[in-house]
Amino acid sequence: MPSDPASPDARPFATVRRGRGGASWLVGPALLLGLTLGCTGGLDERAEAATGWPATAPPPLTLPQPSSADRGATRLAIVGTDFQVSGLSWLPLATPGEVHSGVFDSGAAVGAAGAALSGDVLLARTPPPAGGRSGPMLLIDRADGVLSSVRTDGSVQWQRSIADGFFANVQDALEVAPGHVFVVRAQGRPGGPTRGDGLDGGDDLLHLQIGGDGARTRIPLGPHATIDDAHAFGGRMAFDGEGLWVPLASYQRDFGDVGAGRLVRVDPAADAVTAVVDLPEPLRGCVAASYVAGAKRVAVVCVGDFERVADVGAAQRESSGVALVDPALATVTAHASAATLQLPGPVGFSLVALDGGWHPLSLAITSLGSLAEGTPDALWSLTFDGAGGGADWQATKLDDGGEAWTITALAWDRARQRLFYTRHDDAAGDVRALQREGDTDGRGTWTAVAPVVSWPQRPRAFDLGLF
Amino acid sequence: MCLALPTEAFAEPAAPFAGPAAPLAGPVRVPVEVTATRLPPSGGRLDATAPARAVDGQTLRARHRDLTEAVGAQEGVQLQRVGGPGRPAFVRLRGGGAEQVDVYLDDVALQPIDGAPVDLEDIPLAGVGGMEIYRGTTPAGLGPPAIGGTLRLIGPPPHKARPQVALRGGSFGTGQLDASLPWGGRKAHGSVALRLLHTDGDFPFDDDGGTAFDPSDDERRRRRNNRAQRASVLARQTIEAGSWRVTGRLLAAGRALGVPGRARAEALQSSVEGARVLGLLRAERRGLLGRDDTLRVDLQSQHDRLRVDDRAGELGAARRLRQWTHVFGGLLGYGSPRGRVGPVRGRWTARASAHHGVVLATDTLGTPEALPTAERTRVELGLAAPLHDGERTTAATPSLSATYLQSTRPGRSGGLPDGSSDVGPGQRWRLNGRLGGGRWLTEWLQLRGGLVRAVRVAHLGELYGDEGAILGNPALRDERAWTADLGLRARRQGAGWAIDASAGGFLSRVDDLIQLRVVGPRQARYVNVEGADIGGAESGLEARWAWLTVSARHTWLWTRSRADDPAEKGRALPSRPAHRVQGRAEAALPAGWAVFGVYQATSRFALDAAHVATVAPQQRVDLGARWQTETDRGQRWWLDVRLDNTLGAQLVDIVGFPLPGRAWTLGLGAAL
Repeated sequence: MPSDPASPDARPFATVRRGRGGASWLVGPALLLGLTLGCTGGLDERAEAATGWPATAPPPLTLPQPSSADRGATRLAIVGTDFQVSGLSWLPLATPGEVHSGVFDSGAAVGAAGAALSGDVLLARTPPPAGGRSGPMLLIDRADGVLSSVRTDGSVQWQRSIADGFFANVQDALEVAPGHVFVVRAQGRPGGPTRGDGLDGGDDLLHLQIGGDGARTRIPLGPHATIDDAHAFGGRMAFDGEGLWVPLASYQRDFGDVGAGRLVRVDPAADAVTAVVDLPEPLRGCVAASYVAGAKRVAVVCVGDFERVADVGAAQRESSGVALVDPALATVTAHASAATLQLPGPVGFSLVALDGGWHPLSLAITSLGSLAEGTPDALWSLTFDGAGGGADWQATKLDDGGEAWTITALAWDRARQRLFYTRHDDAAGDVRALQREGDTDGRGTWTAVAPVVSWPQRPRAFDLGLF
Repeated sequence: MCLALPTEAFAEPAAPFAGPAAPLAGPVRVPVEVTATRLPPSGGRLDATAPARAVDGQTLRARHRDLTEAVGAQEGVQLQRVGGPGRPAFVRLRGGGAEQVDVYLDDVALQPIDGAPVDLEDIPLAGVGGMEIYRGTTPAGLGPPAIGGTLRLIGPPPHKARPQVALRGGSFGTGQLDASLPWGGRKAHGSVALRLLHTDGDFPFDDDGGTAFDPSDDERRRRRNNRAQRASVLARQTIEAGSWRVTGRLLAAGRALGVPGRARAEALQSSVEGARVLGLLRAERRGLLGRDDTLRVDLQSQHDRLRVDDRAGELGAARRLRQWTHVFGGLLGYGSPRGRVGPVRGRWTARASAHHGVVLATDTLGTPEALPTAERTRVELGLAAPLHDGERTTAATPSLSATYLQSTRPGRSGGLPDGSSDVGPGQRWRLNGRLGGGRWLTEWLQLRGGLVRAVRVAHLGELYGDEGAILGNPALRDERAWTADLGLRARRQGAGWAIDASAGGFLSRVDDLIQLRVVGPRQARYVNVEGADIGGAESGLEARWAWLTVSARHTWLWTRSRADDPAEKGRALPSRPAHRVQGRAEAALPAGWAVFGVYQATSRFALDAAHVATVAPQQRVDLGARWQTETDRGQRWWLDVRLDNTLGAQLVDIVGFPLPGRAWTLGLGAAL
């Protein structure tokens, strides 16, 4: 059985996959046990310490400081998918009409185990300042649990498996410094770890060192779930220049319940959770965070207590919403539910900080439509003025999605004050953009820019990223 | 041995009470030498004007280990199966979906109200005395034409069967027991067939870890959570008294399967359990109003239970679902006496059937919740008139069917957006029909053709299903199709040789094609796409010469989507190779030995509608040997060994999941 480390299934992983010829399958668990006992500590009694594999720890991480040499993002990367296959396209932010379509896609290699990309692929986050650093595009294959760094010509710089044979439901990756990638794995191996090496387990934040000996460190998030027998279920994280902020959805292992919202701060240099912020009720199912540099706040969105992904209901709308966290104090400074914001549906999975412009605290979010009820997604700008009451939030609808599951990603070109978003349903242009101009009521005015077809006659845009 | 037989022997006899056949035969009785090389009939018994492939029970059991394998070996067929042996297997015909194929067991529709695909693994091969695959239609008298076609499974002939048992074991923890036990005499007889299967399904495959461009982590590892356990029983009992014959049938099948999903990140806990019980009571009478007319009354009860457990959300459902389907119904059929009007001879058949079905489901996501109940009532009236001339050289088979359907689903708790409690297709009448014709051009060459109009109403799962990862769509429109086909069939035999060959082409236009469309990460929904044009050619060959038996099948399929979506429009439908070739050669050796080889190949096909990812051409070779002996008392014992995929090719199924590599099977059997 899969959970039995003595099973024939488990042995090849320990002895073949890692290329550790003489090692028996007992070595992995023994090392894990030894390292765990030798590195105990943490925030509370339930917290596990980070464990490393292999035994040689990666060199200390030094976070790069912003400098004038940092050119910021120069490209909008676009993942197109029909949820069976996927492809990567990109366009220069300076000349959005010059689309480089399908430079890398599922058909790049099809083998016995599947295609080069599954149908569930995301783009990794890029850190501030300046909205990211220009470099290869980092793809997250959620279904297969693989990171791929892809150059603009479609060639693969490197690939790394991060799931190791189970569905880890990878939600995000972020390269905080050259060669240091942090990966959120939302789900754990059913039945628990079988071998105990660095990729086993899941429900954690994985620190990968690309190159060198490929060391990796695992920072368990499971102990920070807000209900018992649950995955912490980390979401899309934010980086404030010093710490990683990971939202936790806390889904019960059988998805029968959703815990209260929580955000944890991880020190990437120490590979440890250094702060835990509980979000106020009724917010649940928190899935994405974004750092608002101008206001020095971490924004987080929660999608609520879902019954079915495709069938959103009133309860989900009530328990979804937005919160702001002061990263210095690790406290919540403001929050509002979708009902308070008078959104037609629950707050969606997408969030970007509309930084560097007209308003110190401005966000772009989505509201979810319903496949069952035929209601569309919608795109909203959200500004916050004041101390935190519901009246301090201003939500302005920017676009309707036509139907559900259409506005699935947002990207903010800070330098050009341009908001990109997907319209999966629109053959005329699956990547749309709104240009923010002027200074009306401190929020600016939005003008539609000509939409772009990212991958003609192929699956449409699903995720966006700046590189 | 040389016997004088009419060439009518080429045409198969009509199955009793299922509607008369329209046998086509040469006009002149000529002596035909019949030797041990005689080939069993290969055309459809119920409708000789339809493109069909018939396989007799002896051939089925001699060549194949289960029904799935037997069906999949025929031309025009593509199996819809994800994974290896023991996994659910559905039959697709002529590029259509499995929902477009009707399956009849002993002329009883196995999906009388629903049309949901039938898992072939539920039916024990030991209980099948022959099968007929009608491509692109349904034979006149059996039921309304199906868009894809029809699989007709026939019971073993009474009085002739012997108790049989076969035990097989093989790679990947696979064991299978097949047994059949007939009993009784001419007035009362019955049989029971049993199949037990267990497989761990842990076959090895080459895993690149998802890093196709980094070979450093490539490894050969085994599939996990791919076990399958199945048990199925098919029992029949017939009592004959005077002109009446009463038959009871019971099919019971259960399965427990792990569901591994994708190869690189397998679902380790997800599972499916299911059970099916079908009961049928049939009364038939001959000579009610005339010398050879027939009356048939069926009462049918069918119960299906399904339990899907994806509590960990590995497959996207994130739930445990239990579903029950109950169907009750009956059929009244009448076949008129044979008659003639001028030069036209034949008979007409009429049938009326009514069924009512209920689907109940419970979802245990969080607090247990009863999902809406879906109900359907179906009434069908059919008329067919197989006609032929006095010399039986020319035949025509018109048939017409009118179907009334009422589908309802009470609204969800909380109500629907429009406040209605009854959504979906509601009440409707649909007309299906076919006109087939055939003519023997010579005494060994037949030309046949037909035109079919078929409409398929979405099944309840497509309309109202809610299995977490797969959502129904109450707004689905009916699929509608026109199909035309033309073909030739030749059959000759001589001293020590025999040959049976068929070839034909078809063109089909399907509107409002219903497809399962992935609409979000791990979320799929049934939708109508504008349609598809499908054409192709199918050919088959059976030949025997002395000690050598050869069979070959070729399927060429041309498909073109008419979807509005530019990513799909004009492209071939996914998961449908343009060419499929299968060849089998068996050589009889002295002392009861025989050796055989099977070659299968498929051409390149796309995994997705936009043709982003394609699977390269695949080939597979199976080799085997069989030893058989017969005792003085007529008992027959056999031993066979097979090495499937002898060359160890890395194969994938129609969705790109890995298939087993080299695998052996050792079998021991007896007919006592």
